[in-house]
Amino acid sequence: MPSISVTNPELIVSMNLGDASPKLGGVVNLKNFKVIRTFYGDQQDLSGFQDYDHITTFTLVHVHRNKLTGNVPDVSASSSCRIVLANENNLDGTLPTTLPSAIQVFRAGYNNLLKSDSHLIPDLSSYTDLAEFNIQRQSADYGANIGSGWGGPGTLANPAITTAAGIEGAIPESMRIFHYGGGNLSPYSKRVLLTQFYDTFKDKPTDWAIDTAVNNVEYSSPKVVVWNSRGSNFTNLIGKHVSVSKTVALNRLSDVGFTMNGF
Amino acid sequence: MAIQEYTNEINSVSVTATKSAIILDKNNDMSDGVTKGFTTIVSSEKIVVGTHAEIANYIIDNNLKYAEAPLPSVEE
Repeated sequence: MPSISVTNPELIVSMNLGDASPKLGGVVNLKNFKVIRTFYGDQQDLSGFQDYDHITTFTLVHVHRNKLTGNVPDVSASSSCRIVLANENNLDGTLPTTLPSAIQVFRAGYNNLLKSDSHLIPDLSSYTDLAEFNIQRQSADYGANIGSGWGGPGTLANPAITTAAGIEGAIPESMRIFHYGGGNLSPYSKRVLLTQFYDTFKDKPTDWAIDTAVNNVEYSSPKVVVWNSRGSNFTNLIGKHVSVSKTVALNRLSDVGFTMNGF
Repeated sequence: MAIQEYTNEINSVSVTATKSAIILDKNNDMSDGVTKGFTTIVSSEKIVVGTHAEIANYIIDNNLKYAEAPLPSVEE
């Protein structure tokens, strides 16, 4: 198979695969890259994105709309990486356990991630710039329709329900889009998640999430989406907010500006 | 049953497993959708519920498009 190599890869700080026709296929191997910051490799036919573990300089990784398989790329070694787009691939493994500490947008929807309650959604509490965490529509036909059922992680890594200290800050104030509709989140984790969102935003004024920019971006349609075929069987929140009904919490978060879908 | 539109200040809409729904933002772009729902949506945005075919036709008839999710800028 023909390949493309570059001269002095250790000096390259940005790579853009462009929009060539026919699309580029095969594997991107970054073994010899040392200081690359931005990688634009979206909308090709790439089957692999490899040997990037040593790279600590990414600020942006675009590998969406390809044919990648395996786990979602883990670029957490690049603490300044702000955007990871891995949506619309053939990824059938797991999410990273940690994200880059500066992450602002993380997308891995429209894949077929491992369906398991042992597969965890990362603890998001420390990502105080994270505005979008989007892993929607995990299925064998990569989100085209429900297929044989929705997949993906079933459980939150941060259960944070037993103490006030655990609940508070579990969802950072920066969050505007949490989208896991068409996934596998358990009813129990939905209850915990709603409690965490309620705790973070319960005292915000009407439309605060719409009116308050994050990372210099205004989000006109904030949302928390978890609809799936597992349903939602709780009537009240949990932990320190157990006396708050689900209805009260959903209405309060909707008033703050979030569309609440799947609770 | 015909397609249903919900336009209250806050809408709370149950979508059964045989229905689909779209959510329209203030620009009348689709901010989200649900395929064969089995969900409850609580939102200040407009919600349209119908069968999958009804929603598909509604999107065509009203020339709807999905809203682009914003991305922060990242310097090269």
